[in-house]
Amino acid sequence: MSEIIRLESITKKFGKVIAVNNVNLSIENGEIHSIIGENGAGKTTLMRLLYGMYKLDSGSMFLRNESVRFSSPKDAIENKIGMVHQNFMLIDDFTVYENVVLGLEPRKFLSFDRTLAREKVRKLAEEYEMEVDIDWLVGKISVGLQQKVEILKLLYRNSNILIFDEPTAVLTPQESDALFQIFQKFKDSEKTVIFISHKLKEVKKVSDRVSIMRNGNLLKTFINKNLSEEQLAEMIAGRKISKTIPIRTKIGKAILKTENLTILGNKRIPKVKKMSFEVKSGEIVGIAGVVGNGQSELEEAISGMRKISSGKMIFNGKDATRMSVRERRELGMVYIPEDRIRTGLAPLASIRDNLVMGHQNEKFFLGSLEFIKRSSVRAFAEESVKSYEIVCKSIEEQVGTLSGGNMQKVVIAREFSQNVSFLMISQPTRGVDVRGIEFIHKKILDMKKSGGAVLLISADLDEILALSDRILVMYEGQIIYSTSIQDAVSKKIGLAMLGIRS
Amino acid sequence: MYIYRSTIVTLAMIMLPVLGGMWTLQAGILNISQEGAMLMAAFFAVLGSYLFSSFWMGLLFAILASLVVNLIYAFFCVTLRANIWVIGMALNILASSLTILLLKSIFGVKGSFTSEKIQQIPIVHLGNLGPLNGIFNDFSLIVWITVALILFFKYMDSRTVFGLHLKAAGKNWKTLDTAGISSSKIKYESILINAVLVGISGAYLSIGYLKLFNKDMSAGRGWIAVAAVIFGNGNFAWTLIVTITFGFVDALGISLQSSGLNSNLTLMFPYLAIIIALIYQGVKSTSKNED
Repeated sequence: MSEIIRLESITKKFGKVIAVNNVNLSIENGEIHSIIGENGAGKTTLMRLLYGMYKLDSGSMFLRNESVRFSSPKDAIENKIGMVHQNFMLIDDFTVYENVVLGLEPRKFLSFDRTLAREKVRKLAEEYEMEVDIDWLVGKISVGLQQKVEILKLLYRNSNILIFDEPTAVLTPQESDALFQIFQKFKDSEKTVIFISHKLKEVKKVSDRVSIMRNGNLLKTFINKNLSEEQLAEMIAGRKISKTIPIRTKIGKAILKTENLTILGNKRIPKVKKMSFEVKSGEIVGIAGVVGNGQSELEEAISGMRKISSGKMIFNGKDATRMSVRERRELGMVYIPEDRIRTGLAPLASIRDNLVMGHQNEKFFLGSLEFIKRSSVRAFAEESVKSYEIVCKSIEEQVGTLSGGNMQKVVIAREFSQNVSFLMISQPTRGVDVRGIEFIHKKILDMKKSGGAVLLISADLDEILALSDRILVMYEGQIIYSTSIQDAVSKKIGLAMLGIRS
Repeated sequence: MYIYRSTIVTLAMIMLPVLGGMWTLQAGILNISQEGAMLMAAFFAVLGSYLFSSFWMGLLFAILASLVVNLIYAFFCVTLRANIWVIGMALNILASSLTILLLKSIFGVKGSFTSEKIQQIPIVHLGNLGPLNGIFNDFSLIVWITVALILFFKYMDSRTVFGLHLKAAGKNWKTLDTAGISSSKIKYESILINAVLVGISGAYLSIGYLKLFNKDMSAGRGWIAVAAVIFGNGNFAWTLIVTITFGFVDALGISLQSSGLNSNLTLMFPYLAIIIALIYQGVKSTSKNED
C-alpha cells in the first residue's frame, strides 16, 4: 500500500489553548483508519485542518507526497477529500438531490439543470443501494437517511478520502452496521476512510489501523488486530477503566407511574400517545428509541416543562399531573436534560450561581430575612468543584467559557446534590468522553443502590443495555416493545427502534 | 384610471427596494438601510443629472451612492456580524442629515433644490394604442425596467444555481461554506444587487417625474419596502401581492387628498396598512408556534 496523506508536526491553537499539538500521522491509500480519543482530545480539530476549515499554525501536510496547503474546504474538495460532519451540513428546506449537488451543480447555460442533477443523484443512490427518495425534503427524513445524503454528497464529488466524524452517534445498531458495510465498499473501491469515534467496539470492528489521541497529542498508531478493546480503553484514558458491573438491588414500590399519558408536540400533534409505565425504587428503566419518537416531549412533560394533555402522572403517591416544576423538584425529582448546555445552564452566569440554581430556597443557603447567604453558597460551590473535578480558574468564571465536558459536570454536580428519589436523565453520555461516561454511569448506579428510581432515556443502545433493569422501546410516541434485561436481545431491540415488532 | 396610473407610478418606487430586499433576505440579511440608501441615491441622482445634464449620469451617481451605503451596511452586518438595527438606523439617520448638509454646501439652498439643467429620466411613449393608451403609455422608463427585473428575478430565484446558493447562504451558511462556496461572497453579491436596485429607485424618486430633490423626500417608502419584505418572508408571490397592496394604498391616499380629505390623515394610509398586515402575520405565526 502507498501513503496517501502525511501530516508532519501539525499544531493548531485557539487563543491560548493548544487543540492539536505537534501531530505526525500517516494514512495509507485504501485503509480504514480510526482516530479515537476522549472529548477534546483534538480529533475533530485535526480533521477540520485536513478539510481546510481551519488553517494550520505550523507544520506541513502532504497529499500523495506533494505538499499541500488548504485555505478553505474548496481546496480540500478539489483534492478529493470529503467530510461527513458530526452535526450534519444539510439544508432542511432543500430536497435530497439539491443538498447532494450543492456547490457543484450541473448547469445548462445560466440555469441549474435539475433534470441532470436528479438523474446523477438517483444513479449514485442506486449504485450504493441507498433507499432514499431524492425528492424528499431533507428536514423530513430520518437521521439515518440524512447521513446517507451526506455520504451521497461525498460520492457525488468523487472523493477518495472520506472523513467521518462520529457518524454512529445518532444511529441504531442496524444503521451502524449498514454504514460499516458502506465503509467496506469504499475500501473495495480503494477509497480511504478516516473514522472518528469514541466507541471502542466499533473501532475494533471496522478499522485496519487505529490512532489514539489524548490532550491534542497523537500518541501512537496501531494495527487493529494487535490490540484488545481493554488495551484501547486504557490507552485513551491513560489509566485503567473499570467496567460498570450491573448490580442487583431490591426493587420496591413504584415511584413514578403514568397512565395513558398523551402529550402534544410543538406542532400541536400528539407526540406521545397513551403511554403507561412505572418506575420503581431501586430500578433503572431504560427508554430506547431513535431520536424524535417522542422522547423529548415525554421527558419535558414528566419534568413539568410541558403540559400533559390527557392521562395521569402519579409521583411519590401524589397526583403530579398538574404540578409545577418546583413542586415536582421538592418531591424529589431530578432531571438532567438532553441539551444540558442550553436547558441545563445559564451560560453567562458564574459557575457558583449555576451550582445553586434550583437549590436557592433550601434552608442551608438562606440567611436572615430570607436573603441568600453568600458564604454558604461559596462553600457549597467550592466543595462541588472539588468533588466533581470541574476544571476552572475560579468559581466566579462564566459557565459558558468552560469546555463541554466541564459544563456537563456542573449540571450533574448541581442535580445530584439534591435529595433525590427519582432521577430522569436523557442522553447522559452524548458527547462525553470515556472517563466522563464511567463517572456518570457510576452516579446512576449509586442512585439505584440507594433506592432511587431512574428513568434513563438514551439513543445509545449499548448504554441502555449496560445500565437498565427494564427496557422500553419508544416508536412514534408509543411503547412498541418492552423487555427485562435478562431477556433482552439487542437485535430485537434494534428492530423495534425502527418500528418493526418481532 | 387615475388611481391605476398613480398606483403604478408609486409602485415602481417601492418594488425596486422590495426586490433587492427580498434578494438579500434570501441570503439571510434583512436590509433595513433601504430608506437611507434610497434618499442618498435620490440626492446624487439630482447632482449627477445637474452636473452633466444627463439622466444617465444621474442614474450612475445614484447607484454609486446607494452602493456606498450598502457596502457599509454589509461590512458591519456580514463581515463584523454587528447588530443590523444599530447600523441600519445609523445609516438612515445619517442619510437624512447628510443630504441636507450637502444640499446646503453644494447648492446653497435649504430644504429643496430644482434646476432646469437637470435632465429627467425619459417617459416611454409607445405610439397610439387606442383604448390601451391609458394602461401602457407614457410611463417612465424605470417602470418598464422594473417589470423586466421582476421577471428576471423570478427566473434567477427559482431556476439558477446562483438562486440556490443564495437560499443556502440564508438557511444554513455553514453548509454552503463546507460545500466549498463562500457564503460571505454570496451575501456581498446579494447586497451589491440590492444597491443597484435601490439606486435606481432613488433616481426615479427625484428625476423620474420631477427635477427636484426635497429633504427626506423618500418619505418612508424604504421602510414600506422593508415591511413588505418582512411580511413576504421569502415568498415571491406573497411579497409581490403585499407590495402592490401597499403601493395601491399609498396612491389612494394621495388621490383622496386631492379630493379634499385631510392630508395628515391620508399620509397615514400606507403605514396603517403595514401595521394591520404585520399584526395579522404576528397573530398567525404565534398560533403556529404555540406548544
